[in-house]
Amino acid sequence: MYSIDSLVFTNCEFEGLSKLAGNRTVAALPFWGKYRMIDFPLSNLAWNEITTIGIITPYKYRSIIDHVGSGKPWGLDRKIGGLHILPGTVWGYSNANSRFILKDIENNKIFLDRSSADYVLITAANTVSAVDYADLVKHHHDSKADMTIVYKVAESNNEYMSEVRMSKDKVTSMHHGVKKGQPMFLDCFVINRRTLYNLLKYYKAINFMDLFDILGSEFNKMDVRAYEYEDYSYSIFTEKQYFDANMDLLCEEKYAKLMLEGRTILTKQHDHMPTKFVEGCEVKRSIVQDGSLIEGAVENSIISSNVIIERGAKVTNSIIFQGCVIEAGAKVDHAIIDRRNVVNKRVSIKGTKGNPFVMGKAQK
Amino acid sequence: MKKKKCIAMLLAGGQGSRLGSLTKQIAKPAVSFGGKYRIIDFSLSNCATSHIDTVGVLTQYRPMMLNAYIGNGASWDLDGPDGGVFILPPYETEKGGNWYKGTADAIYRNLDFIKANDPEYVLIISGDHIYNMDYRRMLNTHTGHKADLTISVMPVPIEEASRFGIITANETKRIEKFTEKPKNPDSNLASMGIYIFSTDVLIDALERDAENPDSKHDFGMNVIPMLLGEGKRLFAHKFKGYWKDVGTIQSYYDTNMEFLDDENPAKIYKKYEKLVMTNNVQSPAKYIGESAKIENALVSNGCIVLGTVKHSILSPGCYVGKGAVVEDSILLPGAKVKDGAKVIKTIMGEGSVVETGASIGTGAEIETIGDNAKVTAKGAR
Repeated sequence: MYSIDSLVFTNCEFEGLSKLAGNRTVAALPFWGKYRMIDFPLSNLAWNEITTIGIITPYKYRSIIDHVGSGKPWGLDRKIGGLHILPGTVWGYSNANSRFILKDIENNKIFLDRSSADYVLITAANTVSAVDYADLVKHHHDSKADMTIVYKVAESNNEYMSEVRMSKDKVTSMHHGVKKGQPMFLDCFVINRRTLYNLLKYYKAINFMDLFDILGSEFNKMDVRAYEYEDYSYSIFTEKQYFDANMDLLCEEKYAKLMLEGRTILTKQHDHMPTKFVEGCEVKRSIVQDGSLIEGAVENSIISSNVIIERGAKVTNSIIFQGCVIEAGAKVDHAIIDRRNVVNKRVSIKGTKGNPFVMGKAQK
Repeated sequence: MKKKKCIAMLLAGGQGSRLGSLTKQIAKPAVSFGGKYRIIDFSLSNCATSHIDTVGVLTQYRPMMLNAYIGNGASWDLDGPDGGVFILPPYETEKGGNWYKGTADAIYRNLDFIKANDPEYVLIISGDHIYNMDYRRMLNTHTGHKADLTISVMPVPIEEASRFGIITANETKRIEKFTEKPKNPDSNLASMGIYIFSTDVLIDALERDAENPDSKHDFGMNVIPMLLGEGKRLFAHKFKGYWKDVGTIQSYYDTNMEFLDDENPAKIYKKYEKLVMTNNVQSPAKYIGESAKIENALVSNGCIVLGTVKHSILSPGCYVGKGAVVEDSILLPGAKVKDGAKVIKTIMGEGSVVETGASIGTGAEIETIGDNAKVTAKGAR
């Protein structure tokens, strides 16, 4: 028998997402028309019955708190365990691309003090995956290691993720940037609660640093193992990656695989009307969320809730966020239109596949 | 705790036998409606938006789905610290057990619940109407008239009046006559089956009605005529909004389609969106496929549409396969129309399937497929 608590880190900022994740942390970024990024780790924890969870919040925490609330959709409003909101430091705001700042754990050490868990599962919230957490923790437990990190063989080069170097089954070092075919760290790991304590104590003087920056000198002292994940995952650091990951779902086979495998992705509930498709609308190969009104043409796109696509408007290869209105005759192609924007009559917006146009959240 | 002004008693025990196969397995209030709702959503949402925080739900016929759906009432904000939803089924006493014999009997047997809450007024509603109503306005009418009982009424076409409980009221809205389903109606004001009683009047009336061996223990047939005969202060509250009874297959179908056919869809959206709360299933946004053709339809989340959908309503989790055609139909949650199948003017029950290449419906009469039933290419069910 062993027990697990979890820490979900949302205190990070990425330059490549400045237009979409300027005022909201990447964890609160809408995804697949209905979800927010944090729904993926939270649902995954719920599937695996991990019910004591701390969320390290970012400096700008309004949107993430608004979304998770009391944690009810994930079964976290409970008497035993449940959701703990843990304030993050301002460093997440300034340290570009840092995911696991030691100081964030140090400041919330009371979460670990009050816990009796053997292990802590730590994950970032900018990765969509379905890692089997229960299997991961079991693997970690059986190996008697100090720490087990999740990796995946990189499908393409990625300058933001880290390469994992191993000797037999032990991790020997990690390096920023990963090339296609190399083992890539998925920003998710399990660590013994005691080990984490020791690291916090030892590195107290430099705890403004990322956990993985200080681990460099620990790999030869600690027993760090690796756990391979082979299924679907997508990590988001840039607008292009965000665009591609969303568009991925528009493939019929992938939609069926990702959405209907008996593992429902849990999210905050809204009482929207079903989508109304008006006579004369043309919708193809698209995801549409409840609460929208479709009068015009939509193809290869993701439409969120409360969107109105007026007659004669045309939306192709785009992601339209909640509350937008695409007026009659407007054209939107290869674009990400953030919340509550109105694309006026006869306006044409055009990005490209490699460089989608991004319209930030409307200031109203 | 503050003394309660008004609690609601929601009658949800009826079978709704006129809905045929739709209520074979579930109680009428739990039947899916308008895509992602269930009929009871409308009454419970009205309670929530009218700031009524205590609702007793009287159940009897096939209550499993209904009970599960209502849960602790959180979906309608009815899980507050000083109220909530209370499921009230028939129960046994030391004198034995009985089913609820009528609407008045159902309330009578739960007078303990009313007395424990000790409200000034009791609102009695049913869980099988589609409407938007602020009960606070009706309560104002009731207190303004210092009434013993207020009945919500709305005008209906005079030729349809013989289907309803018809009310004749004077200029001050005081009720002079109440006739259940009159042959020759002399008024077009129909009772909507929504009552507000002053609590002491209700308790007294029900206790006396319970002792009357000739009574059928029904509000419309027995209790209201009794109070009227005694010269109690009965008043009508005229309601001007949207109210529909969905008691028959035809009216259920027509009312669903009204949601779809509204000339100004954006308006109906705004009208309902803020008001109707529902216990959503968690399902992903719907997927519309490459070869899909979809026109004049309400489609809920979790649906996959690969074929043609015209003038139809799809509830959560429905599937329309490649080359399949769905027209003038209502698909209840989880209904599946497989590749190449054809569904015309049909209400498909929850989890029902029309197999590959099969077809149902001619467009003349409304067809229904029971919950979890299958229609194969040979036509067998």
